[in-house]
Amino acid sequence: MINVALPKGRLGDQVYSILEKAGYECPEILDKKSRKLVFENREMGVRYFCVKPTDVAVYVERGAADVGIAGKDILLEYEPDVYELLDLGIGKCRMCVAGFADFYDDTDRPIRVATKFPHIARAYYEEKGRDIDIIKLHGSIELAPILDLSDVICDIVETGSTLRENNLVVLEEIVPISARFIANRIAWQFKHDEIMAMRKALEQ
Amino acid sequence: MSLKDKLNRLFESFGYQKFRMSKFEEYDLYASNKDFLTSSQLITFTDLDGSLLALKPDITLSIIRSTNSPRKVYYNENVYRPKDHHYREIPQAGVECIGTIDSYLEAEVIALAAKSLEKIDRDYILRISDVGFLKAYLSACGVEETYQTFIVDAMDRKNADYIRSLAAKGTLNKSLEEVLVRLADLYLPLSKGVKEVRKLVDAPECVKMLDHLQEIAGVLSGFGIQDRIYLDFSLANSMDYYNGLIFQGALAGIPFTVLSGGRYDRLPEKMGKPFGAVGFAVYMDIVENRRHSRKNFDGDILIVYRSSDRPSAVSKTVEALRRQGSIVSAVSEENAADENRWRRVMTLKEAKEEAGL
Repeated sequence: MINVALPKGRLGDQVYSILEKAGYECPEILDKKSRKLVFENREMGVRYFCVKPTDVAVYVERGAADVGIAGKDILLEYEPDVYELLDLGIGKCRMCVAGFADFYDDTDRPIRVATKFPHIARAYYEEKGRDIDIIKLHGSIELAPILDLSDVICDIVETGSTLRENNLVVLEEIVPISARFIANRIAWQFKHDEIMAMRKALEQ
Repeated sequence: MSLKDKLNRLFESFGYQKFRMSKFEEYDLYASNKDFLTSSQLITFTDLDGSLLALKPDITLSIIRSTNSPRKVYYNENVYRPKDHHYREIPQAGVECIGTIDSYLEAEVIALAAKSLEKIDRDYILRISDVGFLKAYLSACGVEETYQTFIVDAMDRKNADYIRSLAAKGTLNKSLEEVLVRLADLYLPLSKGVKEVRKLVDAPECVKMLDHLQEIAGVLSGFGIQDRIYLDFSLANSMDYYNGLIFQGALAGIPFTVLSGGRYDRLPEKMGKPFGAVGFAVYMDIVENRRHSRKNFDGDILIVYRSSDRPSAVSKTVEALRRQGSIVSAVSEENAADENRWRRVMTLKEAKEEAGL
């Protein structure tokens, strides 16, 4: 039995439909009214859990799930000790620094950065040798520069429409992001054939 | 027999001597060998004469320092290290084989590692690699030092897409890309794996390493160990400590590595000792935490007696039930708590009947 941690939401749905086509189907999962969290198809030897996207890496790192689907942003932010077996090429977006178009970087003082990804932001500015003041937020990051809570934000940009609606623009691009197929290091050894078969299915 | 005893007995059956040490050492030993420690944070304190001491974060350093001639030792001790932002007492067992290390001695230590895992759970896997293999191969292919580090790092995460992205940028050529991607996925029993890698890699230094691994496989089969040893060249991310062979052990049902070891000649060299060393450690905390977690009850029978019950009647009943093989406890009504932690809870009267008194 292979345990798969799927991120709740659009990305999880997309990945499930790929797996479904490859034969790992479990139709119950599509019933949006269902409150169930665990879905099993004994015949195929697969069990899905639907968890918060940021938690997928935790389930996999600690072996509650053998494999999972996690965005590269989550892997960079939390650095879980897992195998990163495949770039799925979906859920594509960019990790960016954004702010007002006329933003002037006053290098005399630390730059204030609002973000959901403090680790990524810190690493990025450290590499540039720039002093920063991190403001960790959990959502509506775009609000921070508008209210002068921060100078810039460090966040994921997909289409850029949220930025535009708030008069913000991308100032710097940090790294491209996409969804990855990850595996627990020990499960990879003990369930090697099953995990590699699933990767193959996802590669198509 | 406890797991600790089982391992000690195994190590002793191969003639390894127990190494005992005090809980602390001079701070200097650790300060001057920081490169060989997993963390530079130590619990330190001042001795009565003003010298600085530290609770031992590691045992290998002490063993090498106190060794001046070839020897085989094992230990089963606690170390003190930061873990999850707090200092912890972590039990560790392991062996160190010190001297002029040859293929036999290396294989003996690997065999001991495999047999240690087997003592805990027959369903184990031990992965072997040569820590220098990837870098030797990349150097032979003329890959720049900075990229070598990135590539080894990506291999450690089995991130073949990173390798492909380097090739797409033109940093790696097509054939090198294919070999690296194959190596990232390669996971085969040792002898079979060596055969497979020979088809991919022919750099002279790498071939030497493959010959060596094949020899090790031969010695291991002499110890009756074959099936559960796998070759995995993605294990290469501890170049600063190990040189040459490295290995890592895993057990079914435990999602973390429980054993790691390898050849570490740099440490004795740094201490000015004229010998090499090979050894491993078993992370007893991870093993113990997992193994005993399935106990469901404190015991079989909890007798809850009343103040009107005669104490001598209680003792007689407890003793009778205990002799029948049950785990029995008795408490007064006032002290009775956590009754659901016992398989059965009964009054003295019921217990007497149970005991046939």
